[in-house]
Amino acid sequence: MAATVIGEGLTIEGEITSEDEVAILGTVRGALSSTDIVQILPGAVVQADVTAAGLSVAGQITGNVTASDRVDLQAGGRLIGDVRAARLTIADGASFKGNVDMDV
Amino acid sequence: MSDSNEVSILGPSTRVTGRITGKGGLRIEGKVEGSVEITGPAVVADGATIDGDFSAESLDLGGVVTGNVTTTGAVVVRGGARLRGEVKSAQVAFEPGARVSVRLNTPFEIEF
Repeated sequence: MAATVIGEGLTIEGEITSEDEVAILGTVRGALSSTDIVQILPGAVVQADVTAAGLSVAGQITGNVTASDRVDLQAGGRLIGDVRAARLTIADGASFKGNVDMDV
Repeated sequence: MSDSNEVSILGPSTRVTGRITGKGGLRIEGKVEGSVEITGPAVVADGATIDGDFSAESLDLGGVVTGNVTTTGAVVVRGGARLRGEVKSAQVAFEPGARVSVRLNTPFEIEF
């Protein structure tokens, strides 16, 4: 399990920084950065710019996303915002609106 | 106690600046600058610091809290923990070694 888990009923408004894996099931508004992996799980609502090593989206996020490694938009996931990452996957059934910059 | 499935954890390297609200239990191992207002039980672990007002069902404190603490249940301040602020709680325990500078408000009736 991730070192930081923002559970289903929890809302954080503000700035979150971490050096560990962050799993979100609840609500985050503001900004989130981790030097590890960030997982936006089904049911999660994120209205924040996210910076991470890797990001997987199975919930909803509105905000710009920057990943040093990769972004995986999973089935059922919804991302509205720009993506800056070397690698991006968008699964069948995912929703995405925004620009992609793979830094080429 | 609240549903144990709804447990949130803020790990040791996690720092939050802002407001934390919601349902379920919360374990804080990192740093919080801002208010915490939850309906479930809270654990502030050794090494954790909170700078802000704190409201929860209960508080098990091993770290440092600077701010007012309000709980419907018990507040336990462990040895080595530090607490500064006003405490409004039905039940309060300070273990030996706890360092507190608090104004206590534990509502009770004296019966004869």
